[in-house]
Amino acid sequence: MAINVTVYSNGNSSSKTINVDFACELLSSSYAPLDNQIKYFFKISTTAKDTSNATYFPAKVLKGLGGANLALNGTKQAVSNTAADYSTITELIEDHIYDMVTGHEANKNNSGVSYRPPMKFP
Amino acid sequence: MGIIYIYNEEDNSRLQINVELKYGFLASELASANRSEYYLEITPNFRKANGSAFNKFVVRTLTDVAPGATTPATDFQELIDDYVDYFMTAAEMALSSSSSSTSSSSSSEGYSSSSSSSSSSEGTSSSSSSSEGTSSSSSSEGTSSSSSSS
Repeated sequence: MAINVTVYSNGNSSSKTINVDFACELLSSSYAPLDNQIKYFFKISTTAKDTSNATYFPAKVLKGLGGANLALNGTKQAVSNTAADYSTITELIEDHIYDMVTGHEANKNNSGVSYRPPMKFP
Repeated sequence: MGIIYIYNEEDNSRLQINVELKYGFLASELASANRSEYYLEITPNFRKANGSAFNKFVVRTLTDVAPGATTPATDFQELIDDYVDYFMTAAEMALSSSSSSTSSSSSSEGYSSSSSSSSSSEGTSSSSSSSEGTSSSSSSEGTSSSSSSS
């Protein structure tokens, strides 16, 4: 069963939900003829928008604990300025949730990431 | 939750391996972590070939691999693939039997097993029948044997 993480904004007295789940599914982005292997990955998604009110957060598909699975552009962790792999599933999920909620400035920690506004409450 | 379905041709059953994401305290990690954690709980709904139940596996990191698998796993794809291999092997689902075999199946406690009298020129054959609470099996290369218990 998926885990619904509720994020409460003290200043706005409102909350948003982030859905975290582990999937065993075909993945459209990596599907190719003769390569229809079921993929195993974490999915992090939300119906919340960022403060620009323009776009929904894209779902995060996380296949491992390092490399392209790091929160900032696949090069750095969001909380710490490090390119090291996450050591646990907990670190992986919490770092991505942190990045979703707080957003990040362009090229944070020299990651090359583009600007992302924080999550919008309410 | 991710569910991996396995169709067992031997008895026309559909088995599954559940991979569920959970969040909570892990007693084994309390001394070091002292907090709730995200982890995967991997459980099959079928049993080993000898009738015994599989342990429930808890995965916190890519080093929590299946018994006998390479640690750490490269990614979650490899991690789960290794668990599937482990369960399939321990349940002896990939073994084949000769075409002259006869088979019957009995089921108890939510799983099914098959028994057969067969000989095989390759590998081993084993047969077992199980009833509630007990099971036994024996096998030897190139010969067939059977046992039953009730």
